[in-house]
Amino acid sequence: MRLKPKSSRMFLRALLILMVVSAWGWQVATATAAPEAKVQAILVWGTDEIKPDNKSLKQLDGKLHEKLAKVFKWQHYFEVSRKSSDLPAGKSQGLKLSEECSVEIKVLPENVAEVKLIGKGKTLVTRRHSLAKAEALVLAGDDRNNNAWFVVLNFN
Amino acid sequence: MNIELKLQALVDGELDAREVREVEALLARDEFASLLVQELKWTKSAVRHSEAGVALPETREFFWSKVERGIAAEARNQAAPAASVAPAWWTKLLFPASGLAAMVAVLFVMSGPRSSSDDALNENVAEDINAYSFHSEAEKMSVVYVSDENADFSPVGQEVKNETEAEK
Amino acid sequence: MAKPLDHKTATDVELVAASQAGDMVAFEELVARHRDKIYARAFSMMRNEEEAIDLAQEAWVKAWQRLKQFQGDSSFATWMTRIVINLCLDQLRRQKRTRAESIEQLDEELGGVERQMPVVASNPTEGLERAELRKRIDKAMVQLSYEHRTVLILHEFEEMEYKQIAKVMNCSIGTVMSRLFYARRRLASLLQSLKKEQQS
Repeated sequence: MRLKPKSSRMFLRALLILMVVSAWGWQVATATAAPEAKVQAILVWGTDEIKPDNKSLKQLDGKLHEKLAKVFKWQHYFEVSRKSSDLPAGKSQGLKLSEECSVEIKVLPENVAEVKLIGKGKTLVTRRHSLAKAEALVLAGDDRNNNAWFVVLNFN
Repeated sequence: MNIELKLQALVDGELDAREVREVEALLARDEFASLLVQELKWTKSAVRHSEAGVALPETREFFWSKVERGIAAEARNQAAPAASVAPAWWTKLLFPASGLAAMVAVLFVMSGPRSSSDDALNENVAEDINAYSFHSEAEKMSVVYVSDENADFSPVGQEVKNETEAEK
Repeated sequence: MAKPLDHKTATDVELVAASQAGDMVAFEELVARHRDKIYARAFSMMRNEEEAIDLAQEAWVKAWQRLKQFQGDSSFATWMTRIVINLCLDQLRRQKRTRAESIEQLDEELGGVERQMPVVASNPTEGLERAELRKRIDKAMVQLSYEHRTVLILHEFEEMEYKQIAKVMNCSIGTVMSRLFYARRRLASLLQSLKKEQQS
């Protein structure tokens, strides 16, 4: 069936409007929906004590060790535990790093992760971290005997 | 002043011309005094300019974040007692005063350097926790550091540390 | 229009002026420039890393609050050093009130012990490398009481006169002189012992 010239113009106009609206709708939807991400969390113990011969502790990998040593004063950094996880958009994801410590991470719209540090069942710190830049978030604190703990979070 | 202290004052250049002449005359005839001056002189020169060079064992960003927090805390402390001890007739002035204080606080936050203020807006900490946040551009990391003298929260399991101590 | 201040290349005087006008970035630059010296002074006096860090931090907070009072009569570094010295002295006085007097201090109060020490006329630090000399002096100074160490620090490191030290330490010039005398004599004896230890 051949369309008449006038109705053909109207059809093309409607199609064009539909395409523009769809494109705009898709753009808005992708901009506001929380993107998916991955996280790797490492619990680290910082100390000036000599390296312990301890099976559950291992020397932190060179690159991260170097980064921490440039920012913090401790001489040795040992990895206590390491967890990785996908972060489904808008859903809170918990990672247990030790008996008393876990983190809860939720990816929010605008490419921001909300990170909660949970200690002894209590939320100690809540921090919003932009995922736009490839930067680590480090939650850290004093430990007994002038040592320190670090939760290093890397997102991608 | 006893003679030993006069000898020391001579070494330190703290005597006037007349006293210098007196002490120098004594040195010419008293061998012990002369030896003592020698000791004081070498001690002085050995110590001067021999200070052990120690560097602050904290990074620029971390140390500054603590100073910045200290400044903000002092500003809050100074504002708080003034309001609490205000006599009754002053209460009329409280609204404008608090308004002014709020403006000052806002200006203070606005004039704060770089990212630390932004960091503070992006985080919440439990009431009983003292935390500093800072950003290391060079190492590409944002840090929230919980300062806890008693180390009540210790996420690294005790068994890990016990093993470590046993190994020591 | 005035050129914006380049904090990295600005002089201390320019940074102080900007800080006095409320520019915290300028103040942060001053902190970065002088933080090691201020910490080193606190560490020399306190001999404790944690305390020295806390006092250095407190000194910078105080400096910000008192910046308007800084008239430029001395350099900014000197003014800052005075602040941290005063904070250390306050802290040491508080600590002294809560601890027993050392035998060394009692000796000094009784008087005369420094006169009994034999003279160390030949310099036991002669010929030492600078690093080794610093190490030995540091080791010897740890063994002095805080009053003796402080008076030495103020006189030799800060190059203060007797009356300035008396003002800072809140004591008489006579006390400054006797403390300095005792500190030097004790230091001479300690340095000689360290030399003997090294030789044996």
